[in-house]
Amino acid sequence: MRKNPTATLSGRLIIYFLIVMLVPFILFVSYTLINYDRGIENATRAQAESALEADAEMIASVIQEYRHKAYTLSSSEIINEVLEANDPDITAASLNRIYEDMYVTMAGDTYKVAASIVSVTGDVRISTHNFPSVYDLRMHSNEWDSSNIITIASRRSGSDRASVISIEDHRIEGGRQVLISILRRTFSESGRLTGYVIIDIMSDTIIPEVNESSLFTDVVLIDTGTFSAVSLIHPQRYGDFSEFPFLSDGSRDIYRAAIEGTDLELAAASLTPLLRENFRTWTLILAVSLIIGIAISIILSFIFSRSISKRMKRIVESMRSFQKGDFGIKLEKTGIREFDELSVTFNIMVRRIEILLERTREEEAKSAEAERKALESQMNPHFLFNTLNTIKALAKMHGEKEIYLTTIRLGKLLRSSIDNRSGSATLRESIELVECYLLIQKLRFGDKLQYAIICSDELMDIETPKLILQPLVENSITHGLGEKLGTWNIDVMIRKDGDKLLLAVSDNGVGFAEIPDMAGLEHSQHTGLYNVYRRLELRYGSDFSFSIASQPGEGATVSISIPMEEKE
Amino acid sequence: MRKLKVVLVEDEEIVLRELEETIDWEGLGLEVVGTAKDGIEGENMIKALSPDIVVTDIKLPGKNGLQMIEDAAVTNGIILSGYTDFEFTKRAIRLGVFDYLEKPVDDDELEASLKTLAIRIIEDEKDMDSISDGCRIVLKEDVQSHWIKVAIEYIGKNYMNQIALSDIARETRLSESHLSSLFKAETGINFLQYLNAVRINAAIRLLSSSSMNVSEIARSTGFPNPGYFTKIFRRFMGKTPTEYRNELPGKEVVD
Repeated sequence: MRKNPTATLSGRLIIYFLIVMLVPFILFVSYTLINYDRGIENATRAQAESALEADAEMIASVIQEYRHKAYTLSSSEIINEVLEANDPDITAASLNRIYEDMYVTMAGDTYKVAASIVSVTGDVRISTHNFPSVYDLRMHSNEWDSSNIITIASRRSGSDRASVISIEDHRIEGGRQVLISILRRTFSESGRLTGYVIIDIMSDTIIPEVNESSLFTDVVLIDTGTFSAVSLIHPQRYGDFSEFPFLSDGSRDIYRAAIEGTDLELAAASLTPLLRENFRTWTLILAVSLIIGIAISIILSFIFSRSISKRMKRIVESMRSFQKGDFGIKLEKTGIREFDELSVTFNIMVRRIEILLERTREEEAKSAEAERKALESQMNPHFLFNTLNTIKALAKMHGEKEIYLTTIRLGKLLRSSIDNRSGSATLRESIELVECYLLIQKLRFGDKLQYAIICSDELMDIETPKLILQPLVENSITHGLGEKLGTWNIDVMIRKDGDKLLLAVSDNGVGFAEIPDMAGLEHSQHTGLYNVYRRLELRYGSDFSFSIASQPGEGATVSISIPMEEKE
Repeated sequence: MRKLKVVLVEDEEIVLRELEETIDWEGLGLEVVGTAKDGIEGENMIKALSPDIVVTDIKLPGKNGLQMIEDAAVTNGIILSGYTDFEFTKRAIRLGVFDYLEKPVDDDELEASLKTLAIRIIEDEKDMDSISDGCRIVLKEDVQSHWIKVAIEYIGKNYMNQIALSDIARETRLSESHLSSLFKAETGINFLQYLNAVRINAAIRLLSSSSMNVSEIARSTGFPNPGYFTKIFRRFMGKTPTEYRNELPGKEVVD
C-alpha cells in the first residue's frame, strides 16, 4: 500500500473485502478438515462399533434365553407323549397339562414370544397364540412349498438335535411381526422325529432394545444361513441382501457384529458418509457463497468508490471553478454525512472568502475613491499652507487677532484632514481639532453657538481613529442646527465604560425626521456620518456600536462605543 | 544675564518681518542678530555670528534649511515647515533639531518653544562655566557609576571621531535617556558638553604645543568644522582659538 500511494479507492476496498471474507473461510475449512478426519470420524467409528456390539449381545442373550425355553419344552414328558401319539383326541385330553407346561416354561413371556408345537404330520397343533398356519404341516404336503423354519430345519441334517434359528419367516402374527424363530425337534425314544417346538420372537421384543442410535442410517439383522435380512430400524424392510445394497458395497462405513451361537449377525450403515456428504455440500455452499461474496464485494467496491469519486469529482470541480474565481459555487447535499460536512465547511469557507474579498474590494474602491478625491482637491499643500502662513503673518502685523487665530485654526483643521501619515490620533489631538472647528464656526455664528467638551484628563492620551469627533460635530452644525432658530448647543461627551470608550455628540437642533439605518446613510445627505460609521466598521468589524437617538425638533445624539486603545 | 542671539532664515519677506517684529524677543531674553532670505546667506551669517538659536524655514533658495543647519553645525535649531514630509522629520531628529513647527505657525507655540530652548541654553552655559575658569577646563573624573566610567573612557579614546550618545549607549547597553540623565547626574554636565570639553582640552594642548592651524586642530580633535570649533571654544574659554594662541605667555606673534 505504501509503495503505491495512488492506488484507487475501489482497489483498496476490494482488498479489504477479500481479507474480511477469506479469513473466516480459511479458518473454518482448516478447522473442519483437521478435526473431521482425525477426531470426529474416529470417535464416531468407535462409538458405532461398541453400540453395534451391545446390540448383538443383547440379541444373543434374548435368543439364548428362548433357546433354552425351547429345549425345556422339547424335553417335556407330556409334549413328547402327545407328539409321539400324534392323535388329536389324546391331545385334547392332555391339552390342559400341555398348556400348563407351556405357560410355566414361558413364564409370562407370551406377550413377547409365541410358542407352538406341531407333530410331523401336522395332526397335533398347539400354540400359546393362534396356531400359525405356516407351521400347519397338513397344508404343506410338500415341505418345499413354503419357506419357514420347519423347511429350513429339514434341509439341515436330520439327526441334529440342536435348535435352528432363522429370520427367514417374516410373518405377521396377530398384528405383530415375527422377527426370529427358534425351532427344536422332538424325537421318540426310538429316535424317530415326532414333531417340532417353535418359539417365535416378536420384533417388538428386540427392536425397542436396539440402540436407537443416531449413529446409523440403518441396522440390519442378517441370517447368513438363509441369506435373508431385516432392518431393525425400519422393520417393514426385509428380504434378501439385494434389499440392502449397502451390505455389499464393501465400504469402511459398514459395521458388522456376529451374534454369538447363531448364524445371525448385525450389520449397520454408518451416518459417516452422510456427514461427509454434508460436509462436502457445506464446503461447496461455502465456496460458492465465497465466490458470490467476492463478486458482490467487487461490484459493491466499484459502486461505492464510483459513488465516492463521483461526489469527490463534483467537489473538486467546484473547488477548481472556485479557484478560477466563481464565488457563486455552492456544494449540494450528497447524502453521505462526511461529504455533507465537507460541503458545508466548503460552502462556509467560500462565503467567508467572498465576504472578505467583497470587503477588500470595497475598501480598495473606497481608498481609490479617497485618493482620487485627495488628488483632485490637492492644490499643492505647500502653497496652501505657505499662503495661510503669509495671511497669518499679515494679520498679525496689522493687529488682526481674529484673522490671525482663524488662520492658524484653519491650518490645523486642513492639515489634520490632509495628513495621512497616521490613521490614529489621541483624544487630546481630536479635541483640539474639534475646538479649532467650533471656534471657526463661532466666528461665523457668535454667541448663538455654544459648546461644551467633557473629557477627563486621564483619557487624553487614548488613541482613536482620527477624524471621528469632528465629522460628528460638523454633522450637528450642518444638518441639526443650521435651520434652527435660537441658541445652538453642542455637547461633546467622552467617557470610559469598562474596556470601551464612549463618544457622544449631542445637539439641540431639528433632529432626524426618522432615524436612518446605516446602509441608508451612504446615499443620504449624512455622508459625514456614514463615512465615520464605515471607517469604524472597517477597523473594528462588529466590535463597536454606532447609534443615533433623536426626537424631531428636540435635537439628536450620535453615540459611538469603540474598544480602548492605549497609546504606547 | 546676556541676551541669546537668534538668526532668522525665511525667504518670504512678510513672514520674516512678522517673525522679527511680532514675536516678543525681548520678553524671552532673546535678540535677533541677523536675518537671511536664502540658505547660503543664512549659513554664512550663522558661521559669522555664531548665534545661540537658529529659526529657519525648510524650503529656501540656494540650500534647504536642514542642509544649512548641518553645514553650519547649528546646535539649537527650530524648523518651520510648510508641509511635513516624513523624510524631513527623520533628518531633523538626526541633526538634533530642537523643534519642528508646521505652517501656519501658531506664534504662541513658537514662543513657548523658544522659551524652553532659551532656558536650556542658559543652564548649559552655567554648567560650562562651572568647569571652565577661562584658562582651562576641569572635568570631573572620579565618578561612582561604573557605566559612566566606561563612557568617559570611551570619550577619551574616541573624541577625535564622530561619536554620539548612541555609540556609548550601545557600548554600555543602557538606554540613551537613562544614560543621558545618569551622565548629567554624575558629571554635572551633559554628554555633548562633556565631549566638547574633552575636545577643547585636546585643542588647547595642540594650540600651545604645535604649530597646527585652527582648521587642522578642529579636524584632529573631532569637530565637524572650524566654525563650530571656534564657537565652542569661545563658549568655554571666552575667546577664539587664535586669540587664545596669541595670548599664550612667551609666544611671539608670528603672523
